[in-house]
Amino acid sequence: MTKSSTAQHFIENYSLPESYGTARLALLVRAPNSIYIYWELPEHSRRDNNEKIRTNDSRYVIRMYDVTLVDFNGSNANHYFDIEIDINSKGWYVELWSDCVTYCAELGVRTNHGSFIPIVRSNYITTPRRSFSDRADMIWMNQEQKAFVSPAENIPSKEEREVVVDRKDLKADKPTVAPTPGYQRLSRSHNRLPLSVEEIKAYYAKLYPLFARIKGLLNGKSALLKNGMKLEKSAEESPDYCGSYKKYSIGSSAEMIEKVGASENIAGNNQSASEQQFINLKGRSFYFEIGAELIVYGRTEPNAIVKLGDNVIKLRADGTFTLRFALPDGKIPLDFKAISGDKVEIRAISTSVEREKTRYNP
Amino acid sequence: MHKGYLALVLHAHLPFVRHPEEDYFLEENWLFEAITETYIPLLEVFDNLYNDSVGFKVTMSITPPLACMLKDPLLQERYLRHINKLIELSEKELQRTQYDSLYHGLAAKYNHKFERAKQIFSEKYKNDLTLGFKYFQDKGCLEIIASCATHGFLPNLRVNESSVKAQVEIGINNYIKTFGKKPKGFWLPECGYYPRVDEFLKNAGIKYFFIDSHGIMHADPVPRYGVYAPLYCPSGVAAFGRDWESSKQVWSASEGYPGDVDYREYYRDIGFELEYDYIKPYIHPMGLRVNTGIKYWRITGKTEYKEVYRPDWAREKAAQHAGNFMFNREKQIEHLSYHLDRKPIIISPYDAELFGHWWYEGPMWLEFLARKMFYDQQTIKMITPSEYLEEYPTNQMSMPSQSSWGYKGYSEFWLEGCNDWIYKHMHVAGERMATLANKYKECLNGNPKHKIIKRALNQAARELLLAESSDWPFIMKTGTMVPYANKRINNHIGRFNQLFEEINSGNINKDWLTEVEKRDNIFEKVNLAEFYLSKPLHEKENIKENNRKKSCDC
Repeated sequence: MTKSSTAQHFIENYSLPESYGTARLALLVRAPNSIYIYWELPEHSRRDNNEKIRTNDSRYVIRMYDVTLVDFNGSNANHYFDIEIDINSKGWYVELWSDCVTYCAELGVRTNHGSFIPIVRSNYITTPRRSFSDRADMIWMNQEQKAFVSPAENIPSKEEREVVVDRKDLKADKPTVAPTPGYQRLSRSHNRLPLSVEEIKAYYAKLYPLFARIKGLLNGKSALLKNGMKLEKSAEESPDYCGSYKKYSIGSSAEMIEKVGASENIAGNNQSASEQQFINLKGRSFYFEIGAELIVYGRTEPNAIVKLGDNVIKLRADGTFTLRFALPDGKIPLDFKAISGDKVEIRAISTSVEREKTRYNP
Repeated sequence: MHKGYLALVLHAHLPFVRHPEEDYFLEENWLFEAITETYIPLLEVFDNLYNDSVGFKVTMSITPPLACMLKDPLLQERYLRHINKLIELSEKELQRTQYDSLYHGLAAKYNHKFERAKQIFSEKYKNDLTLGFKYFQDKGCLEIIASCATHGFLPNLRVNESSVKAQVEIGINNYIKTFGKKPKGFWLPECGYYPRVDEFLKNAGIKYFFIDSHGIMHADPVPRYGVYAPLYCPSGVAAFGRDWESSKQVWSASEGYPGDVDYREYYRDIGFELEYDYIKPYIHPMGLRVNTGIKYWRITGKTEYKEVYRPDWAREKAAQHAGNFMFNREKQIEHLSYHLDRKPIIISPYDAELFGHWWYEGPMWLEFLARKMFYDQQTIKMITPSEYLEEYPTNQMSMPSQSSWGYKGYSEFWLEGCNDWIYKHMHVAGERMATLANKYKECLNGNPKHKIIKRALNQAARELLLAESSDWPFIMKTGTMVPYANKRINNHIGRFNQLFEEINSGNINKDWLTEVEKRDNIFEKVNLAEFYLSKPLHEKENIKENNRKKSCDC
């Protein structure tokens, strides 16, 4: 559109560009085991690459890096795998075998010698957890006091405070924090020790080092990353907690959620929002119905008053009128009365209409 | 002494649909129907309860697109046109049905309902229903929470953090403008949460948000109280988890209350049922049959044959169902409070439009429930999440899991074969918006020299926001009105791209811009582009100011 064009040349229906002219790769989480990848590699990038590689045997691949708990520098991924793609398609859904994994991907070219030349790197994603966490640490936060507290009983000394942030020690022998079947009854009067903001952030940085790296949640990230790796190992060590946890979740939604996932799904719906339950009810296929209505019309002087029973009927400007009635089974009496404008003359017309009982023959 | 709490949460949202370029626009009826059938009936329920001194607490989100539409003079005027037409139709129906006692009573009810809706809309609230909701918030019965600017599904927008931040901050900005105070709570559209999105909420001063059950249950570390107490995210914002038992009773297709045989059938409307010539003036001007809102039949059963609606039977059922809901919550609370060392809270969130629009008797049910809970029992009390946090400021800290309340609990509904094509365009536009805002930062300062660029930048943000609404992929997935959703995405992204090019080329078409501003006028007069800056504008202003002062001193 040029500057001279005005609202009269307003575009009512845009069509969107196929390409935005830059190489692009993006990951989106779809479900714990499913992600969507889309990409774009414009012609000029492809030409450049072909010149660099000087071979036609090369293939476009997406290299998926598992960078869970890793400060990714391009070569330190936990592992990776390649997805060979058709560069001309726009995006693919990829089914994955485990949940709760952090991914980063690169779109590039794999030569027939096996070397990989990356062209563009994607964003980072972490797939959601599909079941209960196996970490049972109890950390408590008080927003009113702007402080973090631990309500776990028997944390008398400063030395022991560390147990709350260090999962490994916690596992060792801290029966107070370790779970028991059934909801734990916690006394609200027991001793609570505040943890500093730094301590709490350090704890979470261990769980999610990626956050620290991306957003600078805290300082000194590399030390914490090492701890993070330790933590990952210890996370496997407490299987019984989940068992007991499941027991006490009877009577709550946990059981069902575990089986089927989200609440909407439990209800057997495949749509969110309000529509779903009504769609089943609708269920029309073949149908056959009739309705009957009665139209009565007449005319008189425009200034006259026409009544049907006791109700006054509204006349049009020319003195005509039309009435329309639903006609159910049964009899409808029609007793009209017209009074002239000067109230001198009255005329009546009476009739009735009857509809016989409707019969339905299946 | 009560043993636990119930937090009823109503999420009121409609996509921004406003077409000044057309005299009649079918999709604008979504708003008009919701006003007559949901928003006004809810206000009436609150009014009844308040006047009778029944203590009740409801949490409600009114999303920015909905608030903007409710405050828009053009749509207000069109609503009046709409309701006047309906009143006219209901008057004709009164006459048409006068020999049919069952139908005539219903026609009279509709006629009364429409007359009353018009009176409440225009006389009581002066055409602006947000004032009604604000009134009850100020009275302390209602806690209105904020939501994203245009109902963006954040897990799918997070490729650009600037877009997520803008959705949150513009939403809160609009809330403050509409309701005159800072929000305490936030509704994540579609309950779409991903770890760390709470940090944006924290920065904007939000205390709590809602999440689906499995977002809490799969939190890390494992939650001690399940969904019956909030978790603090590491940021310190509280996450309240949805209770599926109470949800199911209202939502479920097979067991939920709204499917009861005595309730009004949504899918039998006189717009489709009556003779064409008669109904023609009240349907689409092109002659397409549409819902009018007058429906005379009840659900009857899983049959094509529908019997006449009996309001007294339906009312009786609504009362029974409210009693049943309360009974179940009492049992639930008794059971939970035995196991917990604190009073449990049950979170029951629903789409507000379920009440009245889809489930005609919903508002009635809500009123019965509030009355029964107030008078008939002492086990459970209504509460808002912020009050719960005041009573229990200490909560477990854990990182909730990515989740949504949609199909299968994650992002599938908004990300699949029929709608995935939109994300590339949305993400490119999001990236470009942040680039534009930062590149032309100096134009946002209010210097008249840059006025046109500033307008273009703000309009670009408006187009991006409108494209980001989760309603479009939702509609594409449900398969109804798909061409409209496609058109909206294409046009908002198309207009954004055009603005992007014009701004960069320094060749902004003023007439065209004025027309676009007129059409897509959400968040009118707000400097939207500022929300996309990587550093707030005033920081730089302060520096400039200081520099100027310094130079003056010299």
